[in-house]
Amino acid sequence: MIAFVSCKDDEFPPAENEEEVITDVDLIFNPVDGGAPLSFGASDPDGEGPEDMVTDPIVLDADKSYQLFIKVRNDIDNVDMTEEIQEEGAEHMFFFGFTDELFDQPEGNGNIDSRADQVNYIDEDENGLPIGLITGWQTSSGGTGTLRIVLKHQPDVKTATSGIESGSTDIDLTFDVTVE
Amino acid sequence: MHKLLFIFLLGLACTSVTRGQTKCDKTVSGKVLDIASNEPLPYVSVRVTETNTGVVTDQQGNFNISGLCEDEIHLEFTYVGYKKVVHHHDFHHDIPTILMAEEQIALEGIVVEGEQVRGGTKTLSPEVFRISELQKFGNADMADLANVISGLSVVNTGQNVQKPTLHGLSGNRILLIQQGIRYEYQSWGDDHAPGIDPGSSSSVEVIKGAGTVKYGPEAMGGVVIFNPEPLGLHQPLKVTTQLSGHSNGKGMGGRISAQQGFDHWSVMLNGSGNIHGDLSTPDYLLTNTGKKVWNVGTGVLYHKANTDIEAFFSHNNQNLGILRGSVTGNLEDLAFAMGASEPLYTSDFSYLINTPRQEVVHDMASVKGTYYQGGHVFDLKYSWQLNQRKEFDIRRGANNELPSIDLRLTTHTLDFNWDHPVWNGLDGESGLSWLYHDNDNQPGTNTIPFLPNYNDSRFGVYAIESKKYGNQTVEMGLRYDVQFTSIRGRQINNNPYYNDLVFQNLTASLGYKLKMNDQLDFNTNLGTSWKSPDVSELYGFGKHGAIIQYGLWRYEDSGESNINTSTILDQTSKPVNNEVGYKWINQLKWTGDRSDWIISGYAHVINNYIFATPRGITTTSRGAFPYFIYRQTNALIAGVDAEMSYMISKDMTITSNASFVYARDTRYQNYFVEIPPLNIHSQLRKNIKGKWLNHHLELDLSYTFQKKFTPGVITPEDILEASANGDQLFETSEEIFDFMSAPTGYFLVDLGWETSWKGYSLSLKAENLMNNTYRVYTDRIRYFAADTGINFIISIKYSL
Repeated sequence: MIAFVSCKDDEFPPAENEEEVITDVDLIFNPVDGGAPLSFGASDPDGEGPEDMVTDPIVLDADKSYQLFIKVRNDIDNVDMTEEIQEEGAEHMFFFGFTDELFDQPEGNGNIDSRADQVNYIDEDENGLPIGLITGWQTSSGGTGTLRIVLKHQPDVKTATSGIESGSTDIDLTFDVTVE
Repeated sequence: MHKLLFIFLLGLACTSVTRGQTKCDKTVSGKVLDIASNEPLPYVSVRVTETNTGVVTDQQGNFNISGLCEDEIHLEFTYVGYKKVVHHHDFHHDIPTILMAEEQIALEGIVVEGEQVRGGTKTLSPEVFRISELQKFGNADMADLANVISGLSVVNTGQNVQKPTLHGLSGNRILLIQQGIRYEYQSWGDDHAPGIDPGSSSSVEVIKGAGTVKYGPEAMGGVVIFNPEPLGLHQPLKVTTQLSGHSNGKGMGGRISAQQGFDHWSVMLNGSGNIHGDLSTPDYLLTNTGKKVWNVGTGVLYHKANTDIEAFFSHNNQNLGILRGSVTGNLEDLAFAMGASEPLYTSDFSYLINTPRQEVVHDMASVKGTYYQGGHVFDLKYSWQLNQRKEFDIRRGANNELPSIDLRLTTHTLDFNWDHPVWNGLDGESGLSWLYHDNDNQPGTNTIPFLPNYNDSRFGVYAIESKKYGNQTVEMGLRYDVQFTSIRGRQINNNPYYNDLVFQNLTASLGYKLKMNDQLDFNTNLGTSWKSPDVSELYGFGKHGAIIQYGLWRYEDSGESNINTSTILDQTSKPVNNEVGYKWINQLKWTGDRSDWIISGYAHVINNYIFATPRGITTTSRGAFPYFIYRQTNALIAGVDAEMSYMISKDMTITSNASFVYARDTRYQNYFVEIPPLNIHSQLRKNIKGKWLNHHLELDLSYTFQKKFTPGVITPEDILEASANGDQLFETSEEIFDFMSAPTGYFLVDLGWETSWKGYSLSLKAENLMNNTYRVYTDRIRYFAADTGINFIISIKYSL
C-alpha cells in the first residue's frame, strides 16, 4: 500500500512559449518626410485573463504622410509574432476601418465594411496580395474619430476579394484617433 | 505490484489442489431460447456427452438434469432446424441460458452464463442489449446504442465525436466499463469522446442507478458496461467477417473476429476499421468531417478446475475531423458562422482530415483471476491503460502541425472482489480497489497547457449484502474511498504552481426488490455517489472555443464588475467540496407472454455540482469574449424512461422506447444546457421465412421534440453590443445562456432489410430515408450546420 501512495512523479509540465495569445500590438507611424516615429500600443497584460485590453489614444499631425508599421507580441513570454505573420503572409491580412474625416488618403472609411474600398497596402505576400504589416496614410487637416484594425487568419481562403468575413480573427482592436 | 499478482496466482495454484471428494449429487439446469425472437424453445434435446444421458426442454424451454457425478460436463443441445450448441459447464458457474440459432440465419448460437451479466446488484439490475442486433447494418456507434436504449443519449461535436450521456449526465459523472475495467480518458471536455468501439463488444449493460458502491467514484448517473465476446471452452473455430459501405461520406468499414475454445483454454481475436470522408446534409457538404478509426483486440481464457484466468488487450486508434466551419476566432466570427446559410469554408468532397481534428489512441490491457471454492468466488484483476489525446486547432504557420492539447493519461487499477455464498440468508460481495492516474502534458505545443499535470491515487473498500424474505429482497451497500491528488502546473507566465490534495467520501446504497408475481417485478434503489472536483474544474484556464473559462481555484470573485485571476487559490482560501449525489430510481418490469415493458422513474439531487456559468465580458487582442467561471451549485435531475415490446405475431414484433429528462440548477434557478430533449423511438421488426432465404425487415421511426426547459438565449451580437456600450450583461446574474435557441422537433425514418442463407448475410439500410434537414440539440455543431442527410448502407457478412 505504501508503495502505491509514494509512486507519484513530481514533474511540472514543460515550459512553453505562448505563441497563441497576443498581448501587445504596437502601431508605429513613421513620417515619410523624416522626423521621429510615433508609437501607440494596445496591451492586455493578462492575456486570456479577465482584464480588458487597453489601447493608447493615437495623436497624429495634420496634413502629413505616414507609413504605419504594425508589431505583434506576447509580452508575458517575450515572443514576437510579427515575422511569423510576414512569413505566413499568404494566410494573413490586416483590414482597416476608420472615420472618414481623419485621412485624405486612403479615401473613404476603409475595407472592413467592403473589401473593395481603398487601403494603401505597401507590403504583399508571395501571391502578390496585400498583407498590411506596412500601410501608407495621409492625414487630413484635422479631426477626431476611431481606427479599427483587424487581422484575419485566412488559410486557403485568402483571395483578392476575401474580406473580413473570411477566416478567423487574430486581432480586432479599436483606437481613438485625433489629427491636429 | 507484479509481485503481488504473482503471489496471488501462486496462492490460487496451491489452494486449487485441495479439492473435495466427488459425489453424484450435482444438478444442472438452464433455459433454451431462440436467439432471434428470444422465445423459449420446447423439446430441445439436451445431452450430457460424458454419461450419454439426456432430457428435453419443457414448454418454457427449461431443462434439469440431476444425479451427475462429474465436476465438469459437456452439454449438447440439438433441435431440428437449428444449429447444434455445445456448452462446457462446470458447477462453479451460474445457470446457463442457451440461445440457439436457426440453420438459415447468420447468427451463431451462444451460451450466456449468469455471471457474464452480473454488472449490477440484486436491486439494481442492468438492462442488457446484444450488439449483434445493431451490428446487422454495418458498424454500430454510440448514437446507434442511444437510439435503442432508453435513458442513454449522446452529446456530440458532429458525427465523429459522440460522448455517451445517461440520465442527463456525462463525462466524469457516469462510468464506462470495458473488458471489466473502468475506462479512463480525458473525460472533462464536452468534445472528448471515449475511444470505445461498441461493435467490438458482444453486449452492453446499462445500470441506471448510482453505481458508486460497487464501482467507485464518478458512477453518479449510472454505469455503461461494454462486455467482450464471452470466451467459451470447447467451441469450434468461429470466424465472422463483415464488410460494409455507406453512401454519406463515401465510407467503408470492415470487421473480423475469430474465436476458438479448447479443453482448458479459449482464445478470441478481433479487428475492425472504419473510414469515411466529408459527410453531407441534404443541402451541403460538411467539410473536414472525415474519420479514420481502427481497433484490434484479443482475449485469452485459461480454465482449470476451480480457476479461471482471463487476459485482454485492446488498441483503439482514432483520427477525427471536426467541421471546419465550426471554429471561430472571436465573437464576430462566431456571429458570421452562425448566420451563414451554409458552413464557412465548405469545399469539394475529400477524405483529407485537416485541422481542426483530434487524434486519440487508447490501449488497454487487463488480467483477471477468478477462483471458485465452496460457493465463494474470488476475483483479482489488474489493468493498465494509456490514453493519448492530441487536439489540433487551426493555428498560425508551423504551429498548425502541432497539437494545442497533448495529454497522456496512464491508469493502473487493481481490484479484489469476494462474492460469498448465501450465509444465514445473506448474499453479497465485498472488495478492495486501487486506482492510479498519471496525467501529463507533452512538450512542444507552443501554448501554455489548459490543464496542469496531476497524479491521483485512490483506494476504496466496499461491501454489499442482500437478504431475501419470500418474494422480497432487501439490499444494502457501503463504501469508503480516499483519493490523494498531486497537482503540478504552470501559470500563463510559465511560473510553476503545485498543490497536494486529499478527498474522501463514505457512500451508501439501499435497495428493495419485490417479485409481485411471475410477470411483474418492482425494484427501488436509493444510492449516494460522489466525485472529487475534477482538475479541469479546479485549474482550467484560458480560451476553449468561443469562450474563456476559469477553474474554481483560478479566480477570486469579490462581487465587483471584474474578477481577479492573478493568484492561484487552494482549499484554505476557497474550500471546494466533493460533488455528492443522491439518486433514487424505481423500476417496474413486466414480462408477459407477448409483451414486455419496463418503466423507470428517477430523481437525482447533486450537491456542490460544479458547473461553468458566464460572469462577464473581457476584451482581448482578438476582440470581446464572454468569460465563464466554474461555480458550485445544487442540481436536480429527474426523469422517466419507458421501454416496451409487443409480439404482434410469431414473426412480427414492435418495440418502443422513450425518455424524458428534467434538469434544474436549484440554487441559481436556471436550466442546464445540453440536456437531451424528449425522444420517442419505435421499431417494427418482421421476419419472413422463404424457401431458400430468410428475410428480416426493420422499420425505425423516431421523433425528437424541441427541447423545453432551456436557458435563455444571448446571441454573440447581444454580447458584442453590450461590450461596445459597456453594459453589464452577466455581472449581476448567474444566468446560464445559450447562443442559439433549441432547434425544432424532427422526425426520422430508417428502413433496413437483411437476407441470409447459411453463413452468409446481406443487408441494406437507408438512414434518414426522407432526407430531412434537422439539427440536434445536444450536438455542438448545430450552431453552424445541420445534421447528416440520407445515408445508404450495404453490408455483407460471412460466418464460418
